[in-house]
Formats: sequence, structure tokens, C-alpha cells
Amino acid sequence: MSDFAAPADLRYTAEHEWVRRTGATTARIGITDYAQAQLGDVVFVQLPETGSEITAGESFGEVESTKSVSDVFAPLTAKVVAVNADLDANPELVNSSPYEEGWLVDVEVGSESELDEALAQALDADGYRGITEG
Amino acid sequence: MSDPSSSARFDSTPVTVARLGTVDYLEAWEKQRELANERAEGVGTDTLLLLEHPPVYTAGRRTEDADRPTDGTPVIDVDRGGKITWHGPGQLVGYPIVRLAEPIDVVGYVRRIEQALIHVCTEMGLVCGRVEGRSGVWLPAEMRDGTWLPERKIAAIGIRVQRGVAMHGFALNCNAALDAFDAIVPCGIRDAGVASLSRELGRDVTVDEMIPAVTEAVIAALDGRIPVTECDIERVTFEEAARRAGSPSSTPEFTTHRF
Repeated sequence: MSDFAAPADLRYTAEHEWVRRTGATTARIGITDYAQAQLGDVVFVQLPETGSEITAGESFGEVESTKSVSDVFAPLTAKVVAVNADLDANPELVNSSPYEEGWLVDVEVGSESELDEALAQALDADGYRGITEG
Repeated sequence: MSDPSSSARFDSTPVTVARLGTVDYLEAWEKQRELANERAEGVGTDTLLLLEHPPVYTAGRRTEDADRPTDGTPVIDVDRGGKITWHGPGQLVGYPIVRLAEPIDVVGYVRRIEQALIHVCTEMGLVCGRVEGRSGVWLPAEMRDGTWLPERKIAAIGIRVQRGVAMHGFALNCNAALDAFDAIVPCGIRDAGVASLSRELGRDVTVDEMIPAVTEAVIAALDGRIPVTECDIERVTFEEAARRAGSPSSTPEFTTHRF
């Protein structure tokens, strides 16, 4: 089994993002414990502006570690309603608390059914663990 | 994490090595993007571009204004990791454009590039390694002939991973004129310096001389034939170095980034 946490109540992408439903049409997005570990010590996070649109499968931000820069991909098409401003001063929260304090953006989709469909297409925790174990 | 004895590359087709001579930075960057897009689409082969650049400063996104040149020299803002650095003649620049094995291990990939360069520099007779929390290849601080030499970087590394493909790469100072680093804070690290093979070894070490060894080592490291080891350099304070050298301990003066 993988040594990395993958909470059962979240949905995941093959690009190592997680999605947590926060309301009928709202969700929170971040990168997984596996992703933060393989990136190394995070030193900078670039996120979209509140009010901007993100598109499923396309890059919406970047995470920079002491070693590299990597894209963060949108798990669904949505409007950004909030970004985690704490990451400006404390980007290391992505390492220490990827599923809680280190979240990236809150988003809103057009309808409840749209969010249902997007989450259904994402991986569950077991499916995601299968990816991280190669 | 991925198995360090296996390949960091998605497929096993041979790496294409392209020796390009001296290439303008923006032209090389565009070439990288073309190759990276091909690899992301699953076409082409992994490629190692080896070249030199005309003198240029490049800055990653985290570069602070205080780190930039003080003389108004132009800087190209780039999408790699890291802060500001200089490229120019006498510096071997390598851009491995590699589709990474899945599950992707970015740190593992960077450590392999570092390991390749550590291997090359060690074979040349240098003591070198990593510094925790930094990228690149470093020489330990030391007291040499009564002169305090802080930790100094001999090879810089800045990587970007996009759609599963690594681009940008490394720069190894061979016989580069290091005075260009005086105008900036290299990599944003104020208490360290830069070094070159020529200066450390006391003879002229050219880019052409180093290309074969670097090519072989980078490919071997990516394919798992050079194992990744810890090899962090010993962190030595000025006082400790002075004590070991039997010199009186007085405050070191930093007048230049060149060593």
C-alpha cells in the first residue's frame, strides 16, 4: 500500500489533484499528499484570480518547490470564488497540510448535476492509490 | 517514490543527443517547448540539448528585485524553477527534454540530474555534493591558502515539469568568466558563491572537453545506471574552517560572488 494519505471522502485526478464537495454547486481543490511529497519543499504557489474561469484538464496554477516548477490542472470546469491567501506567506502549508490548510482554490460550477458528473468522473481514493503505486 | 535503480524515463528508446554550439536563449527555449510538446503528445524521443548561450541573465518567478542586476542589464523572465542566474560562454548548458516515468517523481528526477553532475565533478577530482533545501551541485566551504571560500555552486539546476515532460535543465561552469555573477545574487542565495571547474582545478577546462562525460552521466543517471546517493556536502562555518586551518578567526569579508 502507498504511504501517502488519500482521504476516502475526496475525489482525485490522475494529475494528483483532489476535490472536496463543499455545497450543491461548490467544491474545494488542492494537490494530494503524494503530489506534495514528490514535488519537495514548496516555496511558491501561483493561483488564478478570484472570479476567473478554470477549465477541466487545463493548467490553472503552478507549484514551485526548491527543485522545480509543476503545473496544477483543473479537475473540473468552474469559476474561482476564493483562493487560499495563506499560501502567499506560507506556501509550505501545501506540504504540511495538503488536504486542509494547504488547499488551493474554492470553485463554483453552473449546476448541481454538473458537479455530480464531474465528481463521478474523478477517481475515488482506492483508484487514486492504484495510480500512485504505479 | 520511484525506484532509483529503474529508469526515470517513460520509455526506453535511446535519448537523442543534440550538440547545438552557441544558441540564443530565446531560440533554445522555443526549441525546448517544441520538443516538450511533442513528448507530451507521445511522439518524438527524449532529447538532451547541449549548448552554450551568449551572455544572458534569466530569472525564475521567485526572483526578487534586490536579486536582479544593479546595472540595468536586461533579464529574461522564464518559467523554470529557481531564481536568477547567468548563462554565457564557457558554461555547458544541458536541457534534457524527457517524458517522465509514471507515477511521476519530480524530486527523484532532479536528484538524478544532480547525481550525474556530482559524478562528473567527482571524476574530475572535486569534492562536491548537495545542500539540503537548495538545488544544484555545491562545493563545501573551506579555508584555502588563508582565504575563506564559502559554499559555492558549480552547477545550477532549474526544472519545469509540464504535462508529464521535464524541460529546462542544468548549467555547469567549465571555464566561464564568473564576474557576470557579481551583478546579481545568484539563485537568491546571499551567503554563497559560484565556482567553475577551471578555477577549482587550476587549468582550462572547456565545454567541449566536458560534453562527452556529462552526456554519458546524465543518460546513465536517468536510466538508473548511476545510483542516487545522499552525498550532501559538509556544512562548515568560517570559525570551524579557521580552526582546522590553524588560522586566527576573524570575520570573513565577502567582496565578490566569484571563487
